[in-house]
Amino acid sequence: MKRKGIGKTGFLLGVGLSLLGCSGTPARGVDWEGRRLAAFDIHLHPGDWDEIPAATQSFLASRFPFPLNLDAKSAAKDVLSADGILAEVDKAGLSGAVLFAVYAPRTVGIATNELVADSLSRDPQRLFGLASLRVDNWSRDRDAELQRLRTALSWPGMVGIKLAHAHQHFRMDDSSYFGIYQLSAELQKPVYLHTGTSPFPGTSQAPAETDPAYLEPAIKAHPGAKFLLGHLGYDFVSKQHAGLQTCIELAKKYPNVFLEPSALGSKGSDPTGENLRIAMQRMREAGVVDRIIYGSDGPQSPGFVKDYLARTVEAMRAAGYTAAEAEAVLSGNFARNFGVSVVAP
Amino acid sequence: MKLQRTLAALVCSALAGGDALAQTVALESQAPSPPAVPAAADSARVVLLPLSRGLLADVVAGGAGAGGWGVTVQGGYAWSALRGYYGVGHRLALLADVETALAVRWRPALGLSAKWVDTARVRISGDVLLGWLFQSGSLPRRGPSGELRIRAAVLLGRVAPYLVLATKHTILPDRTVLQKADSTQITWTARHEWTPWGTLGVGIALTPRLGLDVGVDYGWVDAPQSVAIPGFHLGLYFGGASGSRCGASCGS
Repeated sequence: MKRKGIGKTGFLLGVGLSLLGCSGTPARGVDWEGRRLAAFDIHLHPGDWDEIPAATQSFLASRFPFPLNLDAKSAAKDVLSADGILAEVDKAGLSGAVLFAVYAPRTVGIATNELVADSLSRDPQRLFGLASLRVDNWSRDRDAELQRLRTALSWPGMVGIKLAHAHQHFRMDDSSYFGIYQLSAELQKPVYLHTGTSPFPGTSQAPAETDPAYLEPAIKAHPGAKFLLGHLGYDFVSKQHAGLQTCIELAKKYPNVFLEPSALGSKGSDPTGENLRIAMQRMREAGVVDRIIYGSDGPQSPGFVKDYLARTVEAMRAAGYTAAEAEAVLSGNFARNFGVSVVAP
Repeated sequence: MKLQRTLAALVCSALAGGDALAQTVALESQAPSPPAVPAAADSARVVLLPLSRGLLADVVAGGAGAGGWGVTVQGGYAWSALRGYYGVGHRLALLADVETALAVRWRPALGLSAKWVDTARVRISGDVLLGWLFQSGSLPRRGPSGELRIRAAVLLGRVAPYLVLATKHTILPDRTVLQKADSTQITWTARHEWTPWGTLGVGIALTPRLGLDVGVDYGWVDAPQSVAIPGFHLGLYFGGASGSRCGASCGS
């Protein structure tokens, strides 16, 4: 059963604040050649500042604008709450969003399944969740953690699993963790995987934990599980594509592989927008548009969710996407593969 | 008999109004006891100084003369400050500043201010300050800090629009302690924090010894990799002007 009375739990990825984004709530959807296309963001993080390791707190605070970085905890408080996230979702005109649970106590922190489930209750029609589990004492706690994950996946609104090998420090090809994918296949809950490097303190940059090529044994061994490759293997340290081609090849080779271009196209990681455009173009040229699922990796800061959506739409326009293709990326592929009905604009 | 006499008189600006307001009348005369009527004193040189040429100019543009002093208390977002100066020479003043951002970042500093340009309408000075940065909160920092600052003001009666441009530099040392099974290794590293600074404001003299200061500030802390939000401040200043307010270039 889901616990009530959630204590201090949380997690944060790339939180920063600005004074922008004060406009009113826009109409839902994205304007595309006179049509309103539904848009859904599969990648948002709720959390609590206190559950973030000190080194990561400093890293995140350094990304806040001055003087908000002097008291980053207060600045982050609003944007990480369920209500704050919903406000950002509304501001962006999104039909809804997926919130991630994360257990990475040594790097980016913890956002428990309970925290996510509690957040979903704020708007069950528009918010969904990905559950996760601890892997840092796997040899001892594996069965208990898998059972905990199974339980969390039974809660209303929990539509999949979140893993981040680089943040959680385990190899992508380590078969001792394949029970997670077996559970994914059994429950028909897709699994989202962070791929590529990460700028957060303590993150593993080892290829076995960042290079999506190392996922192939798991993908091949679990055809009944859906693997969503987050960030397209982007190198966030050098801010350039690294695993894009690998991700595309995996998607072409395996029908259970999906692609998510979040974060790599942000102003910080891709100031010109060129990297995101290249990613969208290459995926289209490879014929895997039906595998792309939109996500932003917000909320990060007020206005980020909206801005990332705009940048992605711009990249798709530049890459020649049709309205049907854009709609598939922004909401259709997610709805079909996660079994969720997306609210029309 | 050669007589040199200097009179310092305060004229009530509120009663006189406009540029006719004078805060200091400096009278030099060789006549024994002429009536102190400037227009009639052929041998006298009289300088009428608008309010902005006295304390106000010293506060917003620096470069106080010997004996001049002033204190400014500024409050705002994100920066607040307590600033003081004391003139020690014709063009030189001692400075003492305590700046803070939201009471989390503090920088006390001492320095010197030198007057570069001083005309009837324009005052420009250069400052150098040395201090120490203390920052707590989410990003603790501390280390020695230095600042170079240029201040310029246009003196218009009782008001003085001014501009401050500064470059602040802080050395932030880090001590890393690596504890091994058989030893402890301590290493020191340091990095440089640069804060370009700009303030655009206006000083307003209420009386010859009291006035207001309002302005917008932009302190780009840890530039260029950071982002900073502009701020504003409202200040109150008070003090005393030095006896000699005009340089050679100061027209009457």
